[in-house]
Amino acid sequence: MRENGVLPSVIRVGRANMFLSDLFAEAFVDATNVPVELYENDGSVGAALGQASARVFLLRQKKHSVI
Amino acid sequence: MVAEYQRGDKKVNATGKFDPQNIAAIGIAYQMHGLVLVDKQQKVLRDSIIWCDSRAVETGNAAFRKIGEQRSLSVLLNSPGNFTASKLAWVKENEPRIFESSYKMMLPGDFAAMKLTGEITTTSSALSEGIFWDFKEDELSKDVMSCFGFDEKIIPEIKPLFSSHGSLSAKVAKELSLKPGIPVSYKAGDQLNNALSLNVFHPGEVAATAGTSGVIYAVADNLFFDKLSRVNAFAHVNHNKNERRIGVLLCINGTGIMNRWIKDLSATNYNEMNKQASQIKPGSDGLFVLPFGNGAERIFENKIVGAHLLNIDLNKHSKGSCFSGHTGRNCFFIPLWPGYYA
Repeated sequence: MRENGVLPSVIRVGRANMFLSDLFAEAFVDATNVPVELYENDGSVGAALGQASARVFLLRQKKHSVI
Repeated sequence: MVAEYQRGDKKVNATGKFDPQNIAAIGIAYQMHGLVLVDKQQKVLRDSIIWCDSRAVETGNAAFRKIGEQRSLSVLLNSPGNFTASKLAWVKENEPRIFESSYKMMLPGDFAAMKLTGEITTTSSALSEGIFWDFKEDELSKDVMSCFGFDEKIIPEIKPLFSSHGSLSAKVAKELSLKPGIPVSYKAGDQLNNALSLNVFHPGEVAATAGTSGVIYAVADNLFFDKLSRVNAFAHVNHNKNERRIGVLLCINGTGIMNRWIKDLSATNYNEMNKQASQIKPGSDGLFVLPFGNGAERIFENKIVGAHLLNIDLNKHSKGSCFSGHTGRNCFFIPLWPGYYA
């Protein structure tokens, strides 16, 4: 990725799966040489946020079509 | 599949934190790059070919040459590789009867939405992760469809990622104790979705996961490609023609699955593995753990290299060394990142 110009200054990670292990998270930081921001988060949050964003969009669309 | 939903639903509802009747919409995150085939009655025609199934590597390599390497990279942003389009071509070549009976092909999330709603849709993002998408023309790739001899009819209706992908059927709503008619309003591949959950939308922002596979996922604003397709580029959740947002994905297939394999083999548990690994110095006493062995590795141009334990000293290394090695303290991704030695 670096070869192709992707030079992250920080990597965001949800505390899930192997990132539940502090040891793994530390090794990941050592290996990549990039700091990690750990969030209490997993993919289910993304699906919930995604549907909520779309729901707002759909409601706006409905409102416009009524007008 | 609805039974799986029911199990999850029951567990979530048991928390008593909300009334399931108040759920207003459904979002789906799914394993990327798979293939599901159904007939007109929406009956599944064969087992899904999942993301790490490597049967289509040669099919993808041949298509890369046929389409033209430069054209493939500049328009599709990838080699067709071992992704969904190549998997569909594999079925066409090796299971012609099943292919002929196929009404629609789907990514796993499209299939999950179909089971909930009875409607079959897809998105440009899903098609891009299957290497069906022309980023230059912003449409279904004529190169891919023609190269593999696919009819456009097999592709589901393409809808925006954030939109209605159908309404929950009365039958399924009853089985899940949900309100009938609520929309499936979002579906995205698991890595894109993970990035969304971490607010990774803009160029330069990066997310990572370490589940079955290990993934680093960055967002770019140009039509990014790696000339060897070692990292792959797909349409991110917020990509559109006027404001490009390309997800650049680096994957090591065998990360968490190797952790599980070592756990099962050593008859221990993750807490104990962590405890023993923490007692070993970084470097794991020179033991190298190469966490592959879960299909073709894209970082090695789709070669199947297998998992390895290297440099074993029978008098020195213990279970703890293996656990430590696999946490990344002497894991193969280290040589890929020269900064480690600094």
